[in-house]
Amino acid sequence: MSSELTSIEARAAGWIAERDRAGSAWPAERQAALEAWLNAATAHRVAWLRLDQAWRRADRLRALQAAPSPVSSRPSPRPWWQQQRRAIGGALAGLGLLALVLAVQVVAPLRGNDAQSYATARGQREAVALADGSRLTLNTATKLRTAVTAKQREVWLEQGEAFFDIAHDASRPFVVHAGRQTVTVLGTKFSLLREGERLRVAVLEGRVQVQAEQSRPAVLVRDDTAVAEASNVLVSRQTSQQVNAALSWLQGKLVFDQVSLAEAASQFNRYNRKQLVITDAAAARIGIGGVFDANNAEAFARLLHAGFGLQVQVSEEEIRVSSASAS
Amino acid sequence: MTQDELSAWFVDQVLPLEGVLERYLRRNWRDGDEIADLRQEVYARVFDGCAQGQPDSAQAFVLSTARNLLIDRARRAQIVDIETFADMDALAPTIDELSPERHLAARSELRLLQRALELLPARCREVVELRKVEGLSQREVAARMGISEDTVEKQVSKGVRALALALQATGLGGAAWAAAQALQRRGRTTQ
Repeated sequence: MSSELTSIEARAAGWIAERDRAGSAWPAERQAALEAWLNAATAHRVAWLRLDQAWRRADRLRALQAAPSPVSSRPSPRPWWQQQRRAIGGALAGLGLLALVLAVQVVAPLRGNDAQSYATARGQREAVALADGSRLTLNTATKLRTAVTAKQREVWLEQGEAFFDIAHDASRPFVVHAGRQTVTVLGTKFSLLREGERLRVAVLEGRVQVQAEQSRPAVLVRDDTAVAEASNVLVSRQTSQQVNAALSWLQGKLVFDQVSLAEAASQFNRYNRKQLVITDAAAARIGIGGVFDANNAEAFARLLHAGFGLQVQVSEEEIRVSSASAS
Repeated sequence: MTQDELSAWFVDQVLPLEGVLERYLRRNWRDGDEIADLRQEVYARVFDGCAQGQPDSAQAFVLSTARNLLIDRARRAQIVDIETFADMDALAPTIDELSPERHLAARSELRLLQRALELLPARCREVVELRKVEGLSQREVAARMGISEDTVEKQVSKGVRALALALQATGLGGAAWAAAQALQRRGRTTQ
Protein backbone atom coordinates (compact mmCIF):
# COMPACT_ATOMS: atom_id res chain seq x y z
CA MET A 1 0.00 0.00 0.00
CA SER A 2 1.38 3.43 -0.92
CA SER A 3 2.14 5.92 1.83
CA GLU A 4 -0.48 8.24 0.34
CA LEU A 5 -3.28 5.70 0.75
CA THR A 6 -1.99 4.74 4.20
CA SER A 7 -2.28 8.34 5.36
CA ILE A 8 -5.75 8.81 3.81
CA GLU A 9 -6.99 5.67 5.56
CA ALA A 10 -5.43 6.73 8.86
CA ARG A 11 -7.17 10.10 8.59
CA ALA A 12 -10.52 8.51 7.67
CA ALA A 13 -10.28 6.01 10.53
CA GLY A 14 -9.37 8.89 12.87
CA TRP A 15 -12.59 10.69 11.93
CA ILE A 16 -14.67 7.57 12.47
CA ALA A 17 -13.08 6.91 15.87
CA GLU A 18 -13.55 10.52 16.98
CA ARG A 19 -17.21 10.53 15.95
CA ASP A 20 -17.72 7.14 17.59
CA ARG A 21 -16.32 8.59 20.84
CA ALA A 22 -18.58 11.64 20.72
CA GLY A 23 -21.72 9.55 20.09
CA SER A 24 -24.80 11.76 19.91
CA ALA A 25 -22.82 14.77 21.21
CA TRP A 26 -20.97 15.19 17.90
CA PRO A 27 -20.52 18.94 17.47
CA ALA A 28 -21.72 20.63 14.29
CA GLU A 29 -18.34 22.24 13.65
CA ARG A 30 -16.59 18.84 13.69
CA GLN A 31 -19.20 17.53 11.26
CA ALA A 32 -18.53 20.55 9.03
CA ALA A 33 -14.79 19.88 9.19
CA LEU A 34 -15.37 16.22 8.31
CA GLU A 35 -17.54 17.19 5.34
CA ALA A 36 -14.90 19.64 4.13
CA TRP A 37 -12.30 16.87 4.25
CA LEU A 38 -14.62 14.46 2.40
CA ASN A 39 -15.35 17.06 -0.27
CA ALA A 40 -11.67 17.80 -0.77
CA ALA A 41 -11.07 14.62 -2.83
CA THR A 42 -13.00 11.59 -4.05
CA ALA A 43 -10.09 9.52 -2.74
CA HIS A 44 -10.94 10.74 0.78
CA ARG A 45 -14.61 10.01 0.35
CA VAL A 46 -14.35 6.45 -0.98
CA ALA A 47 -11.79 5.49 1.68
CA TRP A 48 -14.04 6.92 4.38
CA LEU A 49 -17.19 5.23 3.01
CA ARG A 50 -15.45 1.86 2.96
CA LEU A 51 -14.16 2.11 6.55
CA ASP A 52 -17.38 3.63 7.88
CA GLN A 53 -19.34 0.76 6.34
CA ALA A 54 -17.05 -1.83 7.99
CA TRP A 55 -17.51 -0.11 11.37
CA ARG A 56 -21.30 -0.02 10.92
CA ARG A 57 -21.41 -3.67 9.89
CA ALA A 58 -19.72 -4.46 13.19
CA ASP A 59 -22.92 -3.32 14.96
CA ARG A 60 -24.33 -6.74 14.14
CA LEU A 61 -21.88 -8.25 16.59
CA ARG A 62 -24.38 -7.25 19.28
CA ALA A 63 -26.12 -10.51 18.47
CA LEU A 64 -23.24 -12.37 20.10
CA GLN A 65 -23.93 -10.82 23.46
CA ALA A 66 -25.85 -13.14 25.81
CA ALA A 67 -25.91 -15.73 23.04
CA PRO A 68 -23.51 -18.50 24.00
CA SER A 69 -21.75 -18.23 20.67
CA PRO A 70 -24.64 -18.89 18.28
CA VAL A 71 -22.21 -19.31 15.40
CA SER A 72 -19.17 -20.91 16.92
CA SER A 73 -16.49 -21.33 14.30
CA ARG A 74 -15.06 -24.32 16.16
CA PRO A 75 -16.83 -27.69 16.05
CA SER A 76 -18.16 -28.47 19.49
CA PRO A 77 -16.95 -31.68 21.12
CA ARG A 78 -19.21 -34.69 20.65
CA PRO A 79 -21.95 -34.62 23.24
CA TRP A 80 -21.98 -37.43 25.79
CA TRP A 81 -25.09 -39.13 24.45
CA GLN A 82 -23.57 -39.54 21.01
CA GLN A 83 -20.40 -41.03 22.52
CA GLN A 84 -22.59 -43.26 24.64
CA ARG A 85 -24.56 -44.23 21.62
CA ARG A 86 -21.49 -45.33 19.74
CA ALA A 87 -20.25 -47.30 22.73
CA ILE A 88 -23.53 -49.05 23.29
CA GLY A 89 -23.80 -49.92 19.62
CA GLY A 90 -26.64 -50.67 17.26
CA ALA A 91 -28.52 -53.04 19.53
CA LEU A 92 -29.69 -50.16 21.66
CA ALA A 93 -29.97 -47.65 18.86
CA GLY A 94 -33.59 -47.02 19.79
CA LEU A 95 -32.60 -46.11 23.28
CA GLY A 96 -29.87 -43.88 21.92
CA LEU A 97 -32.44 -42.10 19.81
CA LEU A 98 -34.57 -41.55 22.86
CA ALA A 99 -31.58 -40.07 24.66
CA LEU A 100 -30.96 -37.89 21.65
CA VAL A 101 -34.51 -36.58 21.60
CA LEU A 102 -34.36 -35.80 25.30
CA ALA A 103 -31.01 -34.13 24.94
CA VAL A 104 -32.23 -31.93 22.12
CA GLN A 105 -35.16 -30.78 24.21
CA VAL A 106 -32.90 -29.94 27.12
CA VAL A 107 -30.03 -28.42 25.16
CA ALA A 108 -31.71 -26.58 22.32
CA PRO A 109 -33.25 -23.71 24.30
CA LEU A 110 -29.78 -22.86 25.61
CA ARG A 111 -28.27 -22.53 22.16
CA GLY A 112 -28.78 -19.26 20.35
CA ASN A 113 -30.91 -17.91 23.14
CA ASP A 114 -30.97 -14.16 22.77
CA ALA A 115 -32.88 -12.09 25.30
CA GLN A 116 -31.91 -8.45 24.97
CA SER A 117 -32.95 -4.85 25.42
CA TYR A 118 -31.97 -2.15 22.95
CA ALA A 119 -32.49 1.60 23.04
CA THR A 120 -31.47 4.50 20.83
CA ALA A 121 -31.17 8.17 21.79
CA ARG A 122 -32.86 10.95 19.83
CA GLY A 123 -31.21 11.25 16.42
CA GLN A 124 -29.49 7.84 16.69
CA ARG A 125 -29.95 4.74 14.54
CA GLU A 126 -28.72 1.28 15.37
CA ALA A 127 -28.50 -2.03 13.51
CA VAL A 128 -29.11 -5.18 15.55
CA ALA A 129 -28.62 -8.79 14.45
CA LEU A 130 -30.59 -11.50 16.23
CA ALA A 131 -29.36 -15.03 16.80
CA ASP A 132 -31.86 -16.43 14.24
CA GLY A 133 -30.32 -14.36 11.45
CA SER A 134 -33.00 -11.63 11.49
CA ARG A 135 -31.89 -8.02 11.35
CA LEU A 136 -33.53 -5.04 13.00
CA THR A 137 -32.77 -1.37 12.49
CA LEU A 138 -33.87 0.94 15.30
CA ASN A 139 -34.84 4.48 14.38
CA THR A 140 -34.56 7.57 16.61
CA ALA A 141 -35.66 7.37 20.28
CA THR A 142 -36.68 3.71 20.12
CA LYS A 143 -36.85 1.02 22.82
CA LEU A 144 -37.39 -2.67 22.24
CA ARG A 145 -36.78 -6.05 23.86
CA THR A 146 -36.07 -9.30 22.02
CA ALA A 147 -36.35 -12.94 23.03
CA VAL A 148 -35.26 -15.56 20.52
CA THR A 149 -35.30 -19.18 21.61
CA ALA A 150 -35.39 -22.50 19.81
CA LYS A 151 -39.19 -22.46 20.10
CA GLN A 152 -40.21 -18.89 19.41
CA ARG A 153 -39.07 -15.48 18.27
CA GLU A 154 -40.57 -12.45 19.99
CA VAL A 155 -39.97 -8.71 20.11
CA TRP A 156 -41.66 -6.09 22.28
CA LEU A 157 -41.65 -2.63 20.68
CA GLU A 158 -41.96 -0.35 23.70
CA GLN A 159 -41.61 2.95 21.85
CA GLY A 160 -40.45 4.38 18.56
CA GLU A 161 -39.87 2.82 15.15
CA ALA A 162 -37.96 -0.14 13.75
CA PHE A 163 -37.39 -1.87 10.42
CA PHE A 164 -37.53 -5.67 10.52
CA ASP A 165 -35.72 -7.93 8.07
CA ILE A 166 -36.86 -11.32 9.30
CA ALA A 167 -35.08 -14.58 8.47
CA HIS A 168 -37.54 -17.15 7.14
CA ASP A 169 -38.36 -19.94 9.59
CA ALA A 170 -41.77 -21.55 9.18
CA SER A 171 -41.40 -23.52 12.42
CA ARG A 172 -40.91 -20.39 14.52
CA PRO A 173 -43.26 -17.52 13.66
CA PHE A 174 -41.79 -14.13 14.50
CA VAL A 175 -44.12 -12.14 16.76
CA VAL A 176 -43.85 -8.43 17.52
CA HIS A 177 -45.88 -7.03 20.42
CA ALA A 178 -46.63 -3.31 20.42
CA GLY A 179 -48.94 -2.34 23.25
CA ARG A 180 -52.17 -4.21 22.60
CA GLN A 181 -51.34 -5.03 18.97
CA THR A 182 -49.44 -8.07 17.76
CA VAL A 183 -47.80 -8.51 14.38
CA THR A 184 -46.96 -12.04 13.23
CA VAL A 185 -44.68 -12.97 10.31
CA LEU A 186 -42.76 -15.96 8.97
CA GLY A 187 -40.06 -14.22 6.93
CA THR A 188 -40.38 -10.74 5.48
CA LYS A 189 -39.32 -7.08 5.53
CA PHE A 190 -41.51 -4.45 7.15
CA SER A 191 -41.43 -1.45 9.43
CA LEU A 192 -43.38 -0.58 12.56
CA LEU A 193 -43.89 2.84 14.08
CA ARG A 194 -45.49 2.99 17.50
CA GLU A 195 -47.23 6.22 18.49
CA GLY A 196 -48.61 5.49 21.95
CA GLU A 197 -51.33 2.89 21.38
CA ARG A 198 -51.46 3.46 17.63
CA LEU A 199 -49.26 1.31 15.39
CA ARG A 200 -48.26 2.08 11.80
CA VAL A 201 -47.14 -0.86 9.64
CA ALA A 202 -45.51 -0.70 6.20
CA VAL A 203 -44.69 -3.91 4.32
CA LEU A 204 -41.76 -3.97 1.92
CA GLU A 205 -41.74 -7.71 1.15
CA GLY A 206 -43.67 -10.84 2.10
CA ARG A 207 -46.82 -11.16 4.24
CA VAL A 208 -47.57 -9.74 7.65
CA GLN A 209 -50.52 -10.45 9.92
CA VAL A 210 -51.69 -7.61 12.16
CA GLN A 211 -54.00 -8.33 15.07
CA ALA A 212 -55.46 -5.51 17.13
CA GLU A 213 -56.85 -6.47 20.50
CA GLN A 214 -60.55 -6.72 19.69
CA SER A 215 -60.66 -7.26 15.95
CA ARG A 216 -60.12 -9.99 13.41
CA PRO A 217 -56.54 -10.28 12.13
CA ALA A 218 -55.71 -8.40 8.91
CA VAL A 219 -53.18 -9.81 6.46
CA LEU A 220 -50.96 -7.27 4.69
CA VAL A 221 -48.87 -7.93 1.59
CA ARG A 222 -46.13 -6.02 -0.23
CA ASP A 223 -46.70 -2.24 -0.43
CA ASP A 224 -49.58 -2.36 2.05
CA THR A 225 -49.60 0.02 4.96
CA ALA A 226 -51.89 -0.16 7.95
CA VAL A 227 -52.79 1.87 10.99
CA ALA A 228 -53.79 -0.37 13.90
CA GLU A 229 -55.65 1.06 16.88
CA ALA A 230 -57.18 -0.63 19.89
CA SER A 231 -60.35 -1.69 18.08
CA ASN A 232 -59.61 -1.63 14.36
CA VAL A 233 -57.00 -2.04 11.64
CA LEU A 234 -57.17 0.29 8.64
CA VAL A 235 -55.31 -1.08 5.60
CA SER A 236 -54.38 1.01 2.56
CA ARG A 237 -52.43 0.18 -0.59
CA GLN A 238 -49.45 2.36 -1.49
CA THR A 239 -47.08 2.54 -4.41
CA SER A 240 -43.62 1.03 -3.86
CA GLN A 241 -42.30 4.57 -4.01
CA GLN A 242 -44.44 5.70 -1.11
CA VAL A 243 -43.41 2.72 1.01
CA ASN A 244 -39.74 3.36 0.20
CA ALA A 245 -40.16 7.03 1.08
CA ALA A 246 -41.58 6.00 4.45
CA LEU A 247 -38.41 3.92 4.97
CA SER A 248 -36.02 6.72 3.99
CA TRP A 249 -34.98 7.05 7.64
CA LEU A 250 -32.88 3.91 7.15
CA GLN A 251 -30.50 6.24 5.25
CA GLY A 252 -30.99 9.07 7.74
CA LYS A 253 -33.27 10.96 5.33
CA LEU A 254 -36.73 12.46 5.52
CA VAL A 255 -38.68 12.37 2.26
CA PHE A 256 -41.64 14.76 2.01
CA ASP A 257 -44.14 14.71 -0.82
CA GLN A 258 -46.40 17.75 -0.44
CA VAL A 259 -46.88 17.52 3.32
CA SER A 260 -47.73 20.57 5.41
CA LEU A 261 -44.89 22.40 7.12
CA ALA A 262 -46.52 21.51 10.45
CA GLU A 263 -46.21 17.79 9.61
CA ALA A 264 -42.64 18.21 8.30
CA ALA A 265 -41.65 20.00 11.51
CA SER A 266 -43.10 17.23 13.67
CA GLN A 267 -41.08 14.69 11.66
CA PHE A 268 -37.86 16.67 12.18
CA ASN A 269 -38.64 16.97 15.89
CA ARG A 270 -38.49 13.18 16.29
CA TYR A 271 -34.80 13.28 15.39
CA ASN A 272 -33.47 16.46 16.99
CA ARG A 273 -33.16 17.85 20.49
CA LYS A 274 -33.54 21.38 19.10
CA GLN A 275 -37.23 21.59 18.22
CA LEU A 276 -38.73 23.30 15.16
CA VAL A 277 -41.62 25.54 16.22
CA ILE A 278 -43.98 26.91 13.57
CA THR A 279 -45.54 29.97 15.19
CA ASP A 280 -48.51 30.78 12.95
CA ALA A 281 -51.17 28.91 10.98
CA ALA A 282 -50.28 30.51 7.64
CA ALA A 283 -46.74 29.16 7.80
CA ALA A 284 -47.91 25.78 9.13
CA ARG A 285 -50.06 25.25 6.01
CA ILE A 286 -47.24 25.71 3.48
CA GLY A 287 -46.70 22.55 1.38
CA ILE A 288 -43.22 20.98 1.54
CA GLY A 289 -41.57 18.49 -0.83
CA GLY A 290 -38.05 17.10 -1.08
CA VAL A 291 -35.37 15.00 0.59
CA PHE A 292 -33.68 16.28 3.74
CA ASP A 293 -31.12 15.12 6.31
CA ALA A 294 -33.12 14.10 9.39
CA ASN A 295 -30.41 15.37 11.72
CA ASN A 296 -30.09 18.79 10.15
CA ALA A 297 -33.15 20.85 11.07
CA GLU A 298 -31.17 24.09 10.86
CA ALA A 299 -30.34 23.53 7.19
CA PHE A 300 -34.05 22.87 6.60
CA ALA A 301 -34.93 26.13 8.36
CA ARG A 302 -32.41 28.02 6.22
CA LEU A 303 -34.13 26.61 3.13
CA LEU A 304 -37.50 27.81 4.45
CA HIS A 305 -36.04 31.26 4.81
CA ALA A 306 -34.44 31.23 1.35
CA GLY A 307 -37.32 29.51 -0.46
CA PHE A 308 -40.43 30.86 1.26
CA GLY A 309 -39.14 34.07 2.83
CA LEU A 310 -40.07 32.81 6.30
CA GLN A 311 -38.50 34.35 9.41
CA VAL A 312 -36.17 31.98 11.26
CA GLN A 313 -34.88 32.56 14.80
CA VAL A 314 -32.45 30.00 16.22
CA SER A 315 -31.93 29.78 19.99
CA GLU A 316 -30.34 27.18 22.24
CA GLU A 317 -33.58 25.22 22.66
CA GLU A 318 -35.58 25.75 19.47
CA ILE A 319 -35.80 27.03 15.91
CA ARG A 320 -38.77 29.39 15.56
CA VAL A 321 -40.25 29.73 12.07
CA SER A 322 -42.87 32.38 11.30
CA SER A 323 -44.49 34.16 8.35
CA ALA A 324 -42.78 37.40 7.40
CA SER A 325 -45.99 39.35 8.18
CA ALA A 326 -46.47 37.77 11.60
CA SER A 327 -44.52 39.79 14.13
CA MET B 1 -27.69 12.51 -8.22
CA THR B 2 -26.84 14.29 -4.99
CA GLN B 3 -23.61 13.51 -3.18
CA ASP B 4 -25.62 11.65 -0.50
CA GLU B 5 -27.53 9.52 -3.00
CA LEU B 6 -24.27 8.72 -4.71
CA SER B 7 -22.68 7.71 -1.41
CA ALA B 8 -25.67 5.53 -0.53
CA TRP B 9 -25.51 3.82 -3.93
CA PHE B 10 -21.76 3.31 -3.50
CA VAL B 11 -22.21 1.70 -0.08
CA ASP B 12 -25.14 -0.52 -1.18
CA GLN B 13 -23.99 -1.55 -4.64
CA VAL B 14 -20.23 -1.13 -4.97
CA LEU B 15 -18.69 -1.97 -1.58
CA PRO B 16 -20.28 -5.45 -1.44
CA LEU B 17 -18.28 -6.25 -4.61
CA GLU B 18 -14.96 -5.81 -2.81
CA GLY B 19 -14.26 -9.55 -2.79
CA VAL B 20 -14.96 -9.83 -6.52
CA LEU B 21 -12.81 -6.80 -7.32
CA GLU B 22 -9.98 -8.05 -5.14
CA ARG B 23 -9.98 -11.48 -6.81
CA TYR B 24 -9.97 -9.87 -10.24
CA LEU B 25 -7.06 -7.56 -9.39
CA ARG B 26 -5.02 -10.36 -7.83
CA ARG B 27 -5.54 -12.55 -10.85
CA ASN B 28 -4.41 -9.87 -13.27
CA TRP B 29 -1.72 -7.93 -11.45
CA ARG B 30 1.54 -9.39 -10.27
CA ASP B 31 2.54 -6.92 -7.63
CA GLY B 32 0.50 -7.84 -4.55
CA ASP B 33 1.66 -4.71 -2.72
CA GLU B 34 -0.20 -2.52 -5.17
CA ILE B 35 -3.59 -4.22 -4.87
CA ALA B 36 -4.90 -1.88 -2.15
CA ASP B 37 -3.94 1.20 -4.19
CA LEU B 38 -5.53 -0.22 -7.32
CA ARG B 39 -8.71 -0.94 -5.39
CA GLN B 40 -8.78 2.61 -4.02
CA GLU B 41 -8.21 4.02 -7.53
CA VAL B 42 -11.04 1.87 -8.95
CA TYR B 43 -13.38 3.11 -6.19
CA ALA B 44 -12.50 6.74 -6.87
CA ARG B 45 -13.01 6.32 -10.64
CA VAL B 46 -16.32 4.50 -10.12
CA PHE B 47 -17.54 7.18 -7.72
CA ASP B 48 -16.63 10.03 -10.07
CA GLY B 49 -17.85 8.13 -13.11
CA CYS B 50 -21.31 7.66 -11.62
CA ALA B 51 -21.89 11.28 -10.65
CA GLN B 52 -24.05 11.65 -13.79
CA GLY B 53 -26.15 8.54 -13.25
CA GLN B 54 -25.99 4.99 -12.02
CA PRO B 55 -24.97 2.20 -14.39
CA ASP B 56 -27.42 -0.69 -14.77
CA SER B 57 -24.98 -3.18 -13.35
CA ALA B 58 -22.61 -1.99 -10.67
CA GLN B 59 -20.61 -5.20 -11.02
CA ALA B 60 -19.99 -4.88 -14.78
CA PHE B 61 -19.09 -1.22 -14.29
CA VAL B 62 -16.65 -1.90 -11.44
CA LEU B 63 -14.89 -4.66 -13.35
CA SER B 64 -14.62 -2.73 -16.61
CA THR B 65 -13.25 0.23 -14.62
CA ALA B 66 -10.69 -2.11 -13.07
CA ARG B 67 -9.77 -3.47 -16.48
CA ASN B 68 -9.23 0.00 -17.95
CA LEU B 69 -7.14 0.97 -14.97
CA LEU B 70 -4.87 -2.07 -15.37
CA ILE B 71 -4.45 -1.30 -19.08
CA ASP B 72 -3.58 2.34 -18.25
CA ARG B 73 -1.09 1.20 -15.66
CA ALA B 74 0.56 -1.27 -17.99
CA ARG B 75 0.88 1.37 -20.70
CA ARG B 76 2.30 3.92 -18.34
CA ALA B 77 4.79 1.58 -16.76
CA GLN B 78 8.42 2.49 -17.43
CA ILE B 79 9.56 -1.08 -17.73
CA VAL B 80 6.96 -3.29 -19.24
CA ASP B 81 7.02 -6.96 -18.53
CA ILE B 82 6.39 -8.59 -21.90
CA GLU B 83 4.00 -10.99 -20.20
CA THR B 84 1.86 -8.09 -19.02
CA PHE B 85 0.90 -7.34 -22.58
CA ALA B 86 0.41 -10.97 -23.39
CA ASP B 87 -2.05 -11.00 -20.49
CA MET B 88 -4.06 -8.02 -21.71
CA ASP B 89 -6.35 -10.26 -23.72
CA ALA B 90 -7.06 -12.27 -20.62
CA LEU B 91 -8.25 -9.22 -18.73
CA ALA B 92 -11.86 -9.87 -19.57
CA PRO B 93 -13.63 -10.81 -16.36
CA THR B 94 -14.24 -14.54 -16.00
CA ILE B 95 -17.68 -16.01 -15.80
CA ASP B 96 -17.09 -16.60 -12.11
CA GLU B 97 -16.49 -12.88 -11.57
CA LEU B 98 -19.54 -11.85 -13.56
CA SER B 99 -21.99 -14.19 -11.91
CA PRO B 100 -24.10 -12.26 -9.42
CA GLU B 101 -22.62 -12.29 -5.95
CA ARG B 102 -24.74 -14.37 -3.63
CA HIS B 103 -26.19 -12.13 -1.01
CA LEU B 104 -24.79 -13.02 2.37
CA ALA B 105 -27.40 -14.28 4.75
CA ALA B 106 -27.41 -12.44 8.04
CA ARG B 107 -26.15 -15.51 9.76
CA SER B 108 -23.06 -15.93 7.61
CA GLU B 109 -22.51 -12.17 7.92
CA LEU B 110 -22.33 -12.68 11.66
CA ARG B 111 -19.89 -15.53 11.22
CA LEU B 112 -17.79 -13.41 8.87
CA LEU B 113 -17.67 -10.58 11.40
CA GLN B 114 -16.76 -13.00 14.15
CA ARG B 115 -13.86 -14.38 12.15
CA ALA B 116 -12.76 -10.86 11.27
CA LEU B 117 -12.75 -10.06 14.98
CA GLU B 118 -10.45 -13.03 15.59
CA LEU B 119 -7.88 -11.48 13.27
CA LEU B 120 -7.50 -8.29 15.31
CA PRO B 121 -4.55 -7.78 17.69
CA ALA B 122 -5.50 -8.67 21.29
CA ARG B 123 -5.93 -5.20 22.78
CA CYS B 124 -7.64 -3.77 19.75
CA ARG B 125 -9.95 -6.78 19.70
CA GLU B 126 -10.89 -6.25 23.34
CA VAL B 127 -11.80 -2.62 22.65
CA VAL B 128 -13.87 -3.53 19.59
CA GLU B 129 -15.64 -6.35 21.44
CA LEU B 130 -16.59 -4.16 24.40
CA ARG B 131 -17.71 -1.40 22.04
CA LYS B 132 -19.66 -3.54 19.55
CA VAL B 133 -20.62 -6.78 21.30
CA GLU B 134 -21.30 -5.35 24.77
CA GLY B 135 -22.43 -2.03 23.33
CA LEU B 136 -20.39 0.10 25.77
CA SER B 137 -19.52 3.71 24.87
CA GLN B 138 -15.85 4.60 24.41
CA ARG B 139 -15.87 6.22 27.85
CA GLU B 140 -17.25 3.03 29.44
CA VAL B 141 -14.69 0.93 27.56
CA ALA B 142 -11.90 3.10 28.97
CA ALA B 143 -13.25 2.68 32.50
CA ARG B 144 -13.67 -1.08 32.11
CA MET B 145 -10.16 -1.61 30.74
CA GLY B 146 -8.51 0.97 32.99
CA ILE B 147 -6.99 2.90 30.08
CA SER B 148 -7.43 6.51 28.90
CA GLU B 149 -10.21 7.56 26.52
CA ASP B 150 -7.58 8.78 24.07
CA THR B 151 -6.08 5.30 23.99
CA VAL B 152 -9.53 3.81 23.34
CA GLU B 153 -10.09 6.26 20.47
CA LYS B 154 -6.71 5.30 18.99
CA GLN B 155 -7.54 1.59 19.28
CA VAL B 156 -10.92 2.17 17.62
CA SER B 157 -9.25 3.95 14.71
CA LYS B 158 -6.87 1.00 14.41
CA GLY B 159 -9.80 -1.40 14.77
CA VAL B 160 -11.79 0.30 12.00
CA ARG B 161 -8.95 -0.27 9.52
CA ALA B 162 -8.14 -3.78 10.71
CA LEU B 163 -11.80 -4.76 10.58
CA ALA B 164 -12.22 -3.52 7.00
CA LEU B 165 -9.14 -5.48 6.01
CA ALA B 166 -10.22 -8.60 7.89
CA LEU B 167 -13.73 -8.46 6.43
CA GLN B 168 -12.22 -8.25 2.98
CA ALA B 169 -9.90 -11.19 3.69
CA THR B 170 -12.59 -13.38 5.26
CA GLY B 171 -14.94 -12.44 2.42
CA LEU B 172 -12.43 -13.76 -0.08
CA GLY B 173 -12.77 -17.29 1.20
CA GLY B 174 -10.64 -19.78 3.04
CA ALA B 175 -7.27 -19.37 1.37
CA ALA B 176 -7.02 -15.63 1.83
CA TRP B 177 -8.24 -15.93 5.38
CA ALA B 178 -5.58 -18.49 6.18
CA ALA B 179 -3.00 -16.16 4.65
CA ALA B 180 -4.27 -13.27 6.77
CA GLN B 181 -4.02 -15.46 9.86
CA ALA B 182 -0.48 -16.47 8.97
CA LEU B 183 0.41 -12.80 8.54
CA GLN B 184 -1.08 -12.05 11.90
CA ARG B 185 0.86 -14.86 13.56
CA ARG B 186 4.04 -13.51 12.04
CA GLY B 187 3.09 -10.08 13.35
CA ARG B 188 2.60 -11.50 16.83
CA THR B 189 6.04 -13.05 17.03
CA THR B 190 7.72 -9.79 16.03
CA GLN B 191 5.80 -7.61 18.49
